[in-house]
Amino acid sequence: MWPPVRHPFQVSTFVAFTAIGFGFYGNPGVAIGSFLAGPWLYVWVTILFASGILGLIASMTAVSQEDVSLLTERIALVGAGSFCVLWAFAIFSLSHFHAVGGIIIFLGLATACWWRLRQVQKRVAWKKRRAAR
Amino acid sequence: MSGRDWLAFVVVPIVTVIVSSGILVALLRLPSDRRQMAASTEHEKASTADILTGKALEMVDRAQDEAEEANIRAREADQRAQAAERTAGEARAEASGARLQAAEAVRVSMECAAEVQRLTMARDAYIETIHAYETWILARHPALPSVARPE
Repeated sequence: MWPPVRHPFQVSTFVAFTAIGFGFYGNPGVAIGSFLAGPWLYVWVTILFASGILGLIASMTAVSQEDVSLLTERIALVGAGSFCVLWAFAIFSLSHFHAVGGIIIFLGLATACWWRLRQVQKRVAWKKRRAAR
Repeated sequence: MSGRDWLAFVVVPIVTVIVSSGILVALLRLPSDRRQMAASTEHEKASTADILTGKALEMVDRAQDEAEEANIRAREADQRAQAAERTAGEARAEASGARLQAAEAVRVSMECAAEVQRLTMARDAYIETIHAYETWILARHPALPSVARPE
């Protein structure tokens, strides 16, 4: 079963990613700022910001246009999940296990993104198979 | 090259290139993927319409069957009601006959009681007459024959 709903957790998470990505353009924070240097920082901040925007588009079109929602959510989850993994590495690189709480949070977020990505990809593949019949 | 340098100059760039190129490719393929998936959405809508139509037809058939069964049950109930009315009529006739017979029996018993009373009074009158004759006979001291049983 695939209920096409506008999930509040999804909306709030991508709002947070969008806001953090926008904020990182001005002040990337200690962990990310020390882990990434030069252009790589702005590439990743752009990835995070774009993922947030695409995730919000996915949430808004979840009920009316499932196809657009699934495809944009797929891209948003790849970007957001990758950034969360990167952020966990950045925290570990800066503080090692002194900030284990932060590491766990971002690894948990990354796990959630990849798990959801698997669900979305299964649904996309199913719809493509049905169309091909 | 230290671990941190390895991470900063090799791993991060490679991962960055992989992730950003993957995102760009997915964005570029979005219209074609959407076209592929739109065909399945139409197929789903058609299937849903077929299923709903099929379900509606099933519901109509079921409603017709139930209406027919209800008619049969109504007819049977009417027949049972008519039979019950006939039975009730026969029972009422039987009850009225029984009441007439009871009234007749009461009348006959009353006539019998009256007859018994009349005969009793007649018997009493005859007994009084017999006593009167006995008294008259005994007053004249006749020689009465012996009625003793022979031994």
